[in-house]
Amino acid sequence: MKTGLLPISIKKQAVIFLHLLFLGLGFAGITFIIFNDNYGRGLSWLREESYADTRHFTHQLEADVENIFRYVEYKDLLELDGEVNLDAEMFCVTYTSGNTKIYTLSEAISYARRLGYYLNESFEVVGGPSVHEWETQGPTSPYVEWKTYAPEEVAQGPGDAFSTLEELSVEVLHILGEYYQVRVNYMDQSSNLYFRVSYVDDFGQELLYTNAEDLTNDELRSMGRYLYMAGNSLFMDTNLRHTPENVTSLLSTSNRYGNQEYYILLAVDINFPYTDPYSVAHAAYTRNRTVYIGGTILFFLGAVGLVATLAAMMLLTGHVDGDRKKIARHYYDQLPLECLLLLYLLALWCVKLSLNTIIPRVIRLFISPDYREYSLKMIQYILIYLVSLFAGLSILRNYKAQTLWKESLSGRGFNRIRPAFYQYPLQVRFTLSFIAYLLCTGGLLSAFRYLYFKREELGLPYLYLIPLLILTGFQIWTYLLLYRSRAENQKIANGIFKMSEGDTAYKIDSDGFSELAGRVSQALNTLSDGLETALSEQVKSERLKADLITNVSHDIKTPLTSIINYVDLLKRENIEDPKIQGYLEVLDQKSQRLKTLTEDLVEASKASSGNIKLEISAINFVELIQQSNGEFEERFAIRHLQLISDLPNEEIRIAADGRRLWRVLENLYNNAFKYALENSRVYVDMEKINEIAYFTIKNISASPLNIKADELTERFVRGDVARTTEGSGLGLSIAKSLTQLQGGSFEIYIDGDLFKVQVGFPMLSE
Amino acid sequence: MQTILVCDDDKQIVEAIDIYLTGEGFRVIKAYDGYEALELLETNDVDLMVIDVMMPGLDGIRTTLKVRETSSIPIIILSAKSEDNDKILGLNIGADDYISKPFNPLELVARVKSHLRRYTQLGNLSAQTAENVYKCGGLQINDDNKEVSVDGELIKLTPIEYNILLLLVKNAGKVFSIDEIYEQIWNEEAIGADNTVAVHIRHIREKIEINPREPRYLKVVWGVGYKIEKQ
Repeated sequence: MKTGLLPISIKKQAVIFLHLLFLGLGFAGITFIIFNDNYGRGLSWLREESYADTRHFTHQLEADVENIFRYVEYKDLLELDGEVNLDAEMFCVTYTSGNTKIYTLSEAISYARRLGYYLNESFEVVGGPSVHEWETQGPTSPYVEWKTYAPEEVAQGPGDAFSTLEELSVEVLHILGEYYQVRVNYMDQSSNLYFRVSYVDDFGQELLYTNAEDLTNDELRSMGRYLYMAGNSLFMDTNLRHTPENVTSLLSTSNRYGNQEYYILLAVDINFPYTDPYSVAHAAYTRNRTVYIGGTILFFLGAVGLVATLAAMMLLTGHVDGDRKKIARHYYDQLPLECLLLLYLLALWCVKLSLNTIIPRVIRLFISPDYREYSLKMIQYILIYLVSLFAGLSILRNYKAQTLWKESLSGRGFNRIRPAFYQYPLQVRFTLSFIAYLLCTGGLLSAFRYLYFKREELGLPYLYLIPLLILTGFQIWTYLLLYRSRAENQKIANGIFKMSEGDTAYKIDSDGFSELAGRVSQALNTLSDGLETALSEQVKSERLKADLITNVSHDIKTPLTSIINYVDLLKRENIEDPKIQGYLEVLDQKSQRLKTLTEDLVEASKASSGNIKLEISAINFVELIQQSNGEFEERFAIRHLQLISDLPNEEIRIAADGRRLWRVLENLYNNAFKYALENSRVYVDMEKINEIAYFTIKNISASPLNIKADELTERFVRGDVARTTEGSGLGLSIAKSLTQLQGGSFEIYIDGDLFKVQVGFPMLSE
Repeated sequence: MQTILVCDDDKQIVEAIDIYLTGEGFRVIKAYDGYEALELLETNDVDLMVIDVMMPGLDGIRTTLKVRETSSIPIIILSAKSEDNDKILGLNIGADDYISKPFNPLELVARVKSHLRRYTQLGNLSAQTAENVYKCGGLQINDDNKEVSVDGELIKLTPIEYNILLLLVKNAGKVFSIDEIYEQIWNEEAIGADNTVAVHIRHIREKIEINPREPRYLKVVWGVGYKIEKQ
């Protein structure tokens, strides 16, 4: 955990507070959504729909269409020149006395009024006498001759044509009410709905019913929503999402003329400038929509905040100020895992119990019946969530403190059994482990199978998921364990291979290794450390030795220079005494040998320690041997040695340092010159075997070679054990070291007095 | 009489060199460290300097650097250090020659003489830029009268040796293999050429070089061929 500005305890409290806040927000959002009229419609409507597209709008429109056609019907009946015609004849009855009377509108209304009927604010018929006429008069009702408002009404049965005057006048009053309703709502008051219905009568005269006389058809269409239907067309021209279903039939049934030249145009101003059912419904719709959006936002905000604060809680929990690694556990965290789980189950049971008993009673005190079921459910969810959160965080703290398994009852039991288990040999342990694995898998599988097939009977439909989950987790755990073991082996094996190939600085990265593998890799790393130290020590000591020899030889050379010079000066004096001359000769020889020795010593130490800078290039081995022959042919003649060379007549290219290889050959020729039997032959030849060029020099030794071949290349070993002849005894050693430094092979063979050296170099392919 | 400055911290060595060089008719002045040598150089007219490397006070390398600031006299370094690196260092900072101890007194004398001849006589020789005269450092071949000289001293060569040397000098810097030399000189294809060429080369080296093992002019490029160092 990063330690920020605030102490962790404050952070924790803040996070818990925020978590509860977001929980509340989320549930508030859900509540808004669930109790909205649009619940269950998803989210797309928020973007795509307006009020004019809703079914509610269409239903309102359908009701208005009905009113409009009623108006169309009653206008001709009740109106004259735009005013209500009180003298309009409404119906005609014949009394049992034989009198026939025609009632006008005013007569019908005054009759109804006399009986106590009147129209209320919304033009509905209310009031009336306590005793109706039809209850007292019974069958002595007048016979109805005709009704202007229902011209086509045909008596269904023998009694139907009789009616009381009260019924008829109430009917008229009702019609008048309906007429006023339309007139007032759509024409006298401003309305958001505009209509225009047009018929052409039998005389070719257009009859127009409209509340929008000043507006043209196109203006009406641009109001927002419109519907146009003509009598001579089956096509309905509209931009409504849902069309009113009654328009077509009402339009054609209201046509009382024998032609098809009628039409209806409906238009709704979707800005809803006037107060009417549309604008009211629109306002309600908009409010609902806003609430729904608000609820959605709240829900998502709550959900995101909930997850974020949950993550923060999971990160923070257990940590305290100061020590990063220290995990503080509450006293209840120290219970074993099993007890904690038991407590958790107990808490859940308590929640369930209280949900059945106390909480519904409390809810009944405060919450209206509509919301009771819902609030009970919400409280249930919240309580279960909080209990689970509490338990989960406790487990998480234990996990962080690494006490989850260790202090659980099964962990303790396991740890107690473990040492006893490890006393068994590996085969037994491994077999037992494998059997335990099989048993666990099998047990879980059969538990799953039992619960799955018995899920109906047990009444716990999803209980089978628990063994399934445990089984899955168990298999993943096994997989990870096996994988880790394999990966560790792989890493260790790689390390061993690397070290054996000479990369002694290689270290096995044992991060995340199990205990055993960690110990193995640690041991290997220690081993490689030791190896590396030993190697570098060896290299260092070789270099020190070479440096020492070089420095010593420098110090020897200065006095040696004087010795050689003064011996030479002595020899120049005319000394007659042959004895002194002999002494001087010895001094001269030995001082010269000392000179060779110091020079060879430096070279030998450098060559054997590899402390030489080579200039490797492609050279012609044959040319080099010819050059060497040229250098030595005449010297060999001094000792009557015949040089016989057999060289291939072609270039043989090898990669070597020409000057150093000449040193090798020079030493070998010198060796032959010094130790070969006089008057014998020295053979030099070259052959190619398997792309390797072998140079061979052979001679007969002057003195018996009672020595092993490989001893000859050891420093200071010479063929003559008595060391009477001159030479440092380092020649062959230097030759061998130099050859090997350049990547060649150097072999000495001795067969009786035959001395043979073979130097091989891999040929370069063109 | 030419003056030679000998500088070494080992008095006996200086003494011995003195004896050899005086015997050859040179005037020898002696110094035992670098500062002394620099002082003597200022007060005397010195023709050549022989100097040791490892000395107390100012060592040979620094002394040489100091001398080279004002003078171009031949300098021969004499050192117990015989590694390649030491020789290269010595020659790079301005010395003309490098002889490692213990040295052959006769070789030292020969080298001193050679350097003096070049230093004093080559100036007028270079004036005669005749057509058929090939020069390479102190080595000069006059193809008109078939004369070869090293540092002004005439050398006698056999016709084959002469031709080989001429070929190499004409193409100074180029490496010739044994077969190439054979084909150029004998005008025959080299089939299994014997050691003739290598032996001839060795003879030439013995004649023109002071120390054939460490040749100045005719260098052996081992495993490739021979060449005359371009100078």
